[in-house]
Amino acid sequence: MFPVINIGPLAIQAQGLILIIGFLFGIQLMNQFNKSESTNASTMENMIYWSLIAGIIAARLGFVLIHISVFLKDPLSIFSLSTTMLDNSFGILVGVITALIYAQKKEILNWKTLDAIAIFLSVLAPAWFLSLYASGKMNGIPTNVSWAVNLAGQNRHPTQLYLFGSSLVFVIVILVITQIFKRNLPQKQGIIGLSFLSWLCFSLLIIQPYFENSPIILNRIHSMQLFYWSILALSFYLMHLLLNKNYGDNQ
Amino acid sequence: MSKQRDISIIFIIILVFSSGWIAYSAINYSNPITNFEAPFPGFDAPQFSVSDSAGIIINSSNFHGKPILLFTWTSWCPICKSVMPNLQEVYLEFQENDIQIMAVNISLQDQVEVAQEYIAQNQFTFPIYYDLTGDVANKYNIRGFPTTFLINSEGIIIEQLVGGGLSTAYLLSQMSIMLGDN
Repeated sequence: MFPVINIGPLAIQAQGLILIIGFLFGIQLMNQFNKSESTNASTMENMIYWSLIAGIIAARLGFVLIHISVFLKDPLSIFSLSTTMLDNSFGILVGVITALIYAQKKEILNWKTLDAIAIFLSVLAPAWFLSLYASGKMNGIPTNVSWAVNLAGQNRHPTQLYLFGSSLVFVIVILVITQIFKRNLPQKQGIIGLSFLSWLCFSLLIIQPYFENSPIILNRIHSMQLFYWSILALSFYLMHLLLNKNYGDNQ
Repeated sequence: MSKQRDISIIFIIILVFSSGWIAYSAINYSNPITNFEAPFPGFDAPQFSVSDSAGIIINSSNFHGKPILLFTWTSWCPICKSVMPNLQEVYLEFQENDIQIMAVNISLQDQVEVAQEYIAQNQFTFPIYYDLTGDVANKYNIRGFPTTFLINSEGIIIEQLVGGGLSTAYLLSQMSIMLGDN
């Protein structure tokens, strides 16, 4: 775990730094993908920025609403530069809705957009998991495996690193696959997006039991595994439909 | 058409394998809750000893059953100094409540006299402690200042914050959560 990177007198928060680097690389790769697909790269990039801005504002407003009694006493603190006063769930929800509205207005609400966003997210995902490792969140259960990480004197599964590795593999695979699609299967839009979703859900489903404090239902079952299985099944079903549709179109 | 069928078969195999893994995990990894002390959210907060300004040793177990705001600081850290007035404000608001604020000076990286002078000059009245032995610094893996831990009444760390961002509003909201007001 390395929550802070000390460079001389500067103490930089590793989590934030890694996420910023992942975000910038993600945007860069998405733009390259859009250019190669002859899609309007700037519209897509603007969509990400707008949803990010809306998400941050909504996250702050969500936090304010939850703790309204505090802010009624001191309304100006709503504008505090503190990065801690954010309600992430509400921020993500509004960010996604903003992206959908923007995409609809700009007439880019289609499978190609999902593919481009998946490219962006596939780069952001490894950065996200690495940042969790850096900040010491989402730790694994105790283990004796040789690659365990030591956490306060106890060896544990490096669950964040498993997910980091898995999502990094996806980035590499997807870059190769996009080349294949470009050469042979130009009509299969949406497959990249759904593949990313499937891969992410499959990885999380496999690694979930290794998380410390994984939520359990019915005394034994990891509830999140059921959720990931459902998303995985849905993604496969949609991919099946898309592949069959494209097959029909090709005939 | 056979290619589409092959892909569908792969999908089904993955789903069946995933179902099997869910069942296997339910049998072999049903994660009994472990009480393990580690300086990260979700774990039991490590027990520690510090000294108060009179040199009396205080053990964190003295505050068992109380939510704790553990704030580690040094007198040379500008971000720490910017947060201290907020802590004072929060302390005045919550001093009647059953919550413990512990501003622990990491004394092995500071000069106690300078820290005490700083506290006196600014007339802070919230509880200040001194980590003379490095117990807190070691057990809480303090790498940057300020590092803050929010510990609930069950002794579990619910939040770890490195650096700034501790506005009065944020602290008040977290204190309310820890007291169950929200």
